Amino acid sequence: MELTTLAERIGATILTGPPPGRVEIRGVYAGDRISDLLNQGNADTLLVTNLTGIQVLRVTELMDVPALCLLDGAAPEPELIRAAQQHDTVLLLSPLGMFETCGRLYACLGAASEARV
Amino acid sequence: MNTTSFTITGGDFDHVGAAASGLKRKLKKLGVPPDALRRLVIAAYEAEANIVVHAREGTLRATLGPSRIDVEIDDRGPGIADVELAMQEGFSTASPAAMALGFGAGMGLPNIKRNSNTFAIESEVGEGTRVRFSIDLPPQKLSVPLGSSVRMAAEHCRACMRCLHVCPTGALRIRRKGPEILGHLCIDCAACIGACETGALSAPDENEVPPPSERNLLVVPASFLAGFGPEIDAHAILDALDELGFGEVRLLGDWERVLRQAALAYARDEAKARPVLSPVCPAVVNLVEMRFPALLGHLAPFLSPIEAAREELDQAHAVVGVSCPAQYSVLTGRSSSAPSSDLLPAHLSRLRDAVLPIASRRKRTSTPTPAPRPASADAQQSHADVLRATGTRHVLKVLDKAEEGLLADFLLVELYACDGGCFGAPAGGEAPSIASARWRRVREGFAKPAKAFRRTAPFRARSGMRLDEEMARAIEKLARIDRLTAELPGKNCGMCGAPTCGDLAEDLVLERPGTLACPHTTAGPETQP
Repeated sequence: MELTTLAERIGATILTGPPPGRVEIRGVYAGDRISDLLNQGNADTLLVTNLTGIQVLRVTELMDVPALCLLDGAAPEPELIRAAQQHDTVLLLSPLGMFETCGRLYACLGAASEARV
Repeated sequence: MNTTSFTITGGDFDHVGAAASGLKRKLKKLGVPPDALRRLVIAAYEAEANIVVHAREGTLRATLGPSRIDVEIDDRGPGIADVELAMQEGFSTASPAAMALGFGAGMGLPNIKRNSNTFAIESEVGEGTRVRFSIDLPPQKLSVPLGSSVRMAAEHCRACMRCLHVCPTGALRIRRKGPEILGHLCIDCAACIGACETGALSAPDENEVPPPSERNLLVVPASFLAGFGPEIDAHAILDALDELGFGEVRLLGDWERVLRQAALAYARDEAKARPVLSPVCPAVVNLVEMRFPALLGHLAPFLSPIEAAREELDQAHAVVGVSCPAQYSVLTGRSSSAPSSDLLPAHLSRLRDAVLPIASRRKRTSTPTPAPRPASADAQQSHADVLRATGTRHVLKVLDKAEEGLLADFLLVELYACDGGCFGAPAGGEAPSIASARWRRVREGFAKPAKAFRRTAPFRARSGMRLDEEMARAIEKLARIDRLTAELPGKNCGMCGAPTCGDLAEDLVLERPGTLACPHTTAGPETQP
């Protein structure tokens, strides 16, 4: 599913503008351990995490992850937003916690997708 | 240099991953395949994170060898008391602060081991830890020097050097003996044929034209029907072809049309990457495979129109007219044997000579030109989503933009290597703009159903740019080429027979036979004692 559509459907705000092209999301991985995000991240996966440190953006950059969804409506530090803009990573902010956010993502992408929540 | 090292500072959480990132950028440029690169990046990141989390400082050194990448990580820190325990998934001694950032999951070392081909660790408490791992690189064959379907007649070459400067891949050289094509660089685009005024470079024409009586179905490019001037219309040409024994004539444009529809549908429903590139011109596909491997995933997985026509029509009854070297190559698989049943560009012009007197005799008294039908809303919509460009100069610009990701507002990109599309191919008899304008008037009545075919073989990057089978030597040669290029005057005049100073430097470093000296400096091939 196209990323901006997906963001709209789950009620997430887009904090850093999407790149000009279409970003197709085929899978979701949710987790709070860097090692897991590193292993599961790839070019068509949306990562969902409670981590808001700058380190998580290094992971998206290294693994070519197009987008990262932060949780609980907690606005991240401006530093994180700047870094996301620099690396062309789309930052989403969900007003909900991980459980509900993932529930909505699962409803959008369905069991047929590679949603690994 | 084929060794890179990075210094990593303990506790510097803001920069964890900087080494992995630097390594990724460098190795990507050197053409390390994606899967190996991914595993390397994960393992390097984990090793780097271990230093940041646990040690005072450390280094990461990566060495690129011919068949693998070796990585050594040394740190000065507390060391590991029980290595076996540390290797267990989930075991961690990280601080709560590191854990809050997502580190210390106890997955680092197992992750390195899982992603590498060899792994070793030794540690001394109070001193530090050494981790060694390596990632195997899949064997990458040095490019098999592919042939080119451009034919050369050295005796006609006047060394005017025009062809040198139009070749989009720098494949041409003018040696003392005449033109030479570096087969591994040639994309069969016919730009040089268009520039050659003496016939030293031409399209292939070696096989005999099969007598039409045996095969009565002929496939021709639209340019053939529009290539007889204002007086003779397409119907008169069809009548003449019928008299010559071709009872049925099909247009290659039918397969071009269905390819467009299939590629558009693919772009809407399946494509992972925008824009989708149509494989309509085999020379452009060659160019993408050679110069724009990042765009391979953008190519729609279908056969080109000429291959599709060959696939759909019964080999025994159809003669396919080939317009250019690229179509020829794609039908023959670049083998030296010509397709016995097909008409090559030179035959098409001979056939034109045969058709002309008959068609003039049978010239129809001006059949009224059907008014062009208004394009349907759907056709207009698809038109707005399609970017079309012709001629290698424009094609290169479009591919550059596509590679930078700046064309995602288009659904489909159709590129043709010849100026004016296939109307500008070597087989065309009329100027492409004129022939295509005439064709637009009459084409409505000629469309027939055709099929698009999925490719079974994937598009593959041509690894023709590597300078040496061994990565380390290739890097060393690249450095020598760069040095020599800087010493040359940079006029790119072509007087030495190579299109640019950089190409001459490459010829000299790789000791290509027949290389001539630079007329402006002392650079030249070493003289034989």
